[in-house]
Amino acid sequence: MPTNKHILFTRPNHDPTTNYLYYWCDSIISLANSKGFVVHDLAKSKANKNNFDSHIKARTINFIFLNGHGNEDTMCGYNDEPLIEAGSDLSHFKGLSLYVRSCQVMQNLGKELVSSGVVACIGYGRKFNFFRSTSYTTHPLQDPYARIFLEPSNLVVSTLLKGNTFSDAFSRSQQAMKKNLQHLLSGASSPDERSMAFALYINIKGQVAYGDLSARI
Amino acid sequence: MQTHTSSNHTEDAVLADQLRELVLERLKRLPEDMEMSIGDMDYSKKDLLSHVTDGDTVGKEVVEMQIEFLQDLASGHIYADE
Repeated sequence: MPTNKHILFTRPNHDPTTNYLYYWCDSIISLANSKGFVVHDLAKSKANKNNFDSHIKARTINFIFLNGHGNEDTMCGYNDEPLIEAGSDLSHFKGLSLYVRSCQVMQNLGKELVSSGVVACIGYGRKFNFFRSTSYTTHPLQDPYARIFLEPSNLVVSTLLKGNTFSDAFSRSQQAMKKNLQHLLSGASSPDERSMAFALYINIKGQVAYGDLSARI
Repeated sequence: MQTHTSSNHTEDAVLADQLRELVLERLKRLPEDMEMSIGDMDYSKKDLLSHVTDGDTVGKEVVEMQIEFLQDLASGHIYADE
């Protein structure tokens, strides 16, 4: 069923980490298309400041799913070009909502976005960690190590696309990470898998949600 | 009032060494084919072991993550809200 809601993706692929996030957005983009959302996909080198700003200033976007590197004050795009910076004019983001799959952005920038009128924002206040297998470098979606970390993080957006609230999206992602953690800590996991548990635990603690969590896209 | 003596510093150093050894043993169990993304950097198993052994910024960060995890595991805090 068509909707008038517009979703903006940024997914650079300039290094191994961003390349994995790039591929792990595929299923979310397919889901958004199937749900009738209008998808704006700033993929690879298109995830640059010029393209990003023109989409934001057009004021048609309802939700942004940002992937890439970042820190407390900055969210980056292709080749780590800053796309959003704390302390800059964030008024164009008023009324939007976001999920930021990046490191530490929620420490300062995320809070600033919400205080500038962003409806809701989910992201990470600490470093976002994941493991990869070198055996799957060319097949990131089949990587069993990465799946443990990236599947629950995708759940934030898939939950939102299905019409649920930010609160639901946050709690389902948390539950999925905790379920994976339980598996890693159980006898059912291999010693290899168990040794990765600490990184998933830090992601669980680092994921935060700000703003009006009763909102939907 | 707490007083820091040379004895305290020695004990701290011993504890830090013991924690680092503990983390190294845990990291040795990581699969050989793994790479870890921590923020904007990628590390092989060999890289992680080397950083922790050297006690550099990355190594300290990995030790802190592991210790936080182990402390919360031991206290049961890791199972909170489940």
